Amino acid sequence: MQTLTVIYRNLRQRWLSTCLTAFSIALGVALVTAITALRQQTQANFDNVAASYELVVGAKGSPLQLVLNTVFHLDVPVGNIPYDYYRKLKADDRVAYAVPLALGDNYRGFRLVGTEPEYFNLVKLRDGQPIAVAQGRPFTADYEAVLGSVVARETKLSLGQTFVARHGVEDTAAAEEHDEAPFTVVGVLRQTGTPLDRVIFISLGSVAEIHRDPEDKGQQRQRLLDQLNALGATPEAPATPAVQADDHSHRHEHRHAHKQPPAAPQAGPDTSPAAPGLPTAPDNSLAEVTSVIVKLRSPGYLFLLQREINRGKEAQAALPGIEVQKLFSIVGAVDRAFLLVSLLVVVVAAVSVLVAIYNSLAERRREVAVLRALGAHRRTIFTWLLWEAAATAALGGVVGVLLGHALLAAAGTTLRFLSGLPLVPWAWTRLEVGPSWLTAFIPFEVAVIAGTLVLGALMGLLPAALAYRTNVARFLSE
Amino acid sequence: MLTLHNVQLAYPSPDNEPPVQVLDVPEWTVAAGEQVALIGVSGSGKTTLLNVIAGIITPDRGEVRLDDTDLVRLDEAQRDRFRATYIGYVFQNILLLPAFTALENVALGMKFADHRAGTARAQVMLEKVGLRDRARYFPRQLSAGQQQRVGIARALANRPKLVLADEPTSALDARNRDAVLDLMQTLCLDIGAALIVVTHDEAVARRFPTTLRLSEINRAHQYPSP
Repeated sequence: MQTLTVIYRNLRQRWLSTCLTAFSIALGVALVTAITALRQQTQANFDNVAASYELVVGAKGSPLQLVLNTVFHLDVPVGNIPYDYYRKLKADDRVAYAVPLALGDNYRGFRLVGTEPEYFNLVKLRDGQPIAVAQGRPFTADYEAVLGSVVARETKLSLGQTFVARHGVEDTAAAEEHDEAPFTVVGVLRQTGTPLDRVIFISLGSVAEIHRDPEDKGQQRQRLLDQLNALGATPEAPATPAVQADDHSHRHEHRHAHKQPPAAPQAGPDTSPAAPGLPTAPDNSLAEVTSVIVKLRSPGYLFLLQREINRGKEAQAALPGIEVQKLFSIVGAVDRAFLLVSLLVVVVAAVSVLVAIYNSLAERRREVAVLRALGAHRRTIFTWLLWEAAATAALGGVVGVLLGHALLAAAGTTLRFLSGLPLVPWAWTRLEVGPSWLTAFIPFEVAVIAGTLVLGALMGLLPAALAYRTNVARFLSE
Repeated sequence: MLTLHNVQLAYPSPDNEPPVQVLDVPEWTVAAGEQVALIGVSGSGKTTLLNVIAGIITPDRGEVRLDDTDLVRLDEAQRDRFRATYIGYVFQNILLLPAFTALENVALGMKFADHRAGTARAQVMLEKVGLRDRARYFPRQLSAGQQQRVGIARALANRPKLVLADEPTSALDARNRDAVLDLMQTLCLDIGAALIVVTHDEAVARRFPTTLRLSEINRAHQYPSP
């Protein structure tokens, strides 16, 4: 008879105690596994997304907030910078491209991001692929929208359908609807597994238009009518989408909860006519943008330009990679606290292995005596009991690892909805502690199961030692 | 075959009293294949004597020889292995392991021996004790008589040279007692093993060709003779 069979039979004989003990260990291991896997995958996702961006420029304030807002489409905007600041940035010889973003509205919690159409060609994902439009086309006019894949799935909007945005980057019941200006879906992006999946892209002109003061809109309408009259056309002639929006009644007031209105039609600091070669503001006179994504011609310019911008008074420049590292160094402390508590749960549960086997030992002394009388050596009995303890703990380890990943699977859908970042619940987790030759080949899950096995064996030492010392003659005759 | 020479064993007493002499066996021999009943009252040292012969208890002095091997001179691991290989033990309270089936209980008795026979041998032994169809039953599913037959199969599975039985029928009724004793004696004859049965029951002792009172071989007189 194999030793494994003996151990299995003994564990099965006390199946309820074995299962309860293993389950208590499984709970602790599940927490450790879920926390570790969640942190690793989240950090990898954040690093992955941040790596697609070299530099982001926005209003003075928290650089982390700027990065979260621009790259991850989380948190509220820091503020705005003048449109002309973006123009100058774009004209800088060291800049390969600069793409502006303007925030301020949402549709059912999904942010509307105003940008240039070239965004889809210029900004690349980490794999070097552009953010391609899977269905339809990029927007070419105001009030056209391109949906991220998650937005399309969750809102069930399809090409040609319209929707009305709400004020604010987060969906609140009090937020006012821009019901005078519905957007038409013209494209849906491919799934990227990044926060872009949760974004609705619109033109900068649309942002300017829906935030324009009603008085300004009236003046522009009058100017347009004057121009049409001068050309001898009738006022009822077909209008551009922006004009169509103007035809709605102007109930619009800025009661929404922006920290700062992102694209209010104020004059920027540099209102002089654009220099030759510089981009001009959209027709609807967008004066500010929320942030600018900057790609440099050479990495050597990165810190130089960052310092220059940060020395100025108008804007700040942040490095997404650095800010993500800072974020995780902050989050890491909380994460370590959770991990410590979970490890304590495992240790306490492991003590229950000791208690369970110790309690069972009273009734098993006679069995031990019989085995010894049949010729089993003390060491054999000692080893069997150690293996029983180790197997119970390892069973808890295996169940805990599975349970931990099941927790991750359950949380994955919600987290993806909230952040746009995907979780792979059944992927191996990287072992982070230990020599490199070990961490290179052993995944975290295997190490955890091995750890519970060793911990269980340690907990089995005391009952095994007591069994080792069993007085055979006494217990045979009892 | 089995020779005890000047075997002495005393248990320490509390309160600085002199040790209690339990065994003092100047000389005792059991021939190969011989079947002996040792009769004595409860607490007379019968079980202690069997444990000394089995190497479970080491005497203070003397020799316990099975053929050419003096068990007293072996270290514990060697004694364990020797016992597993050459000595079968049938216990008073049957003592099957509850986690294992009848077949596994028999096979487990063979696990620690030098020459390990497979499960097939365990199956054969169960057939010999008439429990072929109960091989996969757990002890709790067997009657007391059936359990003791499994115990006998376990003790004889390794074809030992010596079988020790400590009150093997004390938990059985008269019909089962006779059946178990017949079986044990027959199987020991089949494999040529010597059989020593200790009992307090005269009826059991009468079934053996050689019957000895413990006091005849043990000079420690602290226990009254029956």
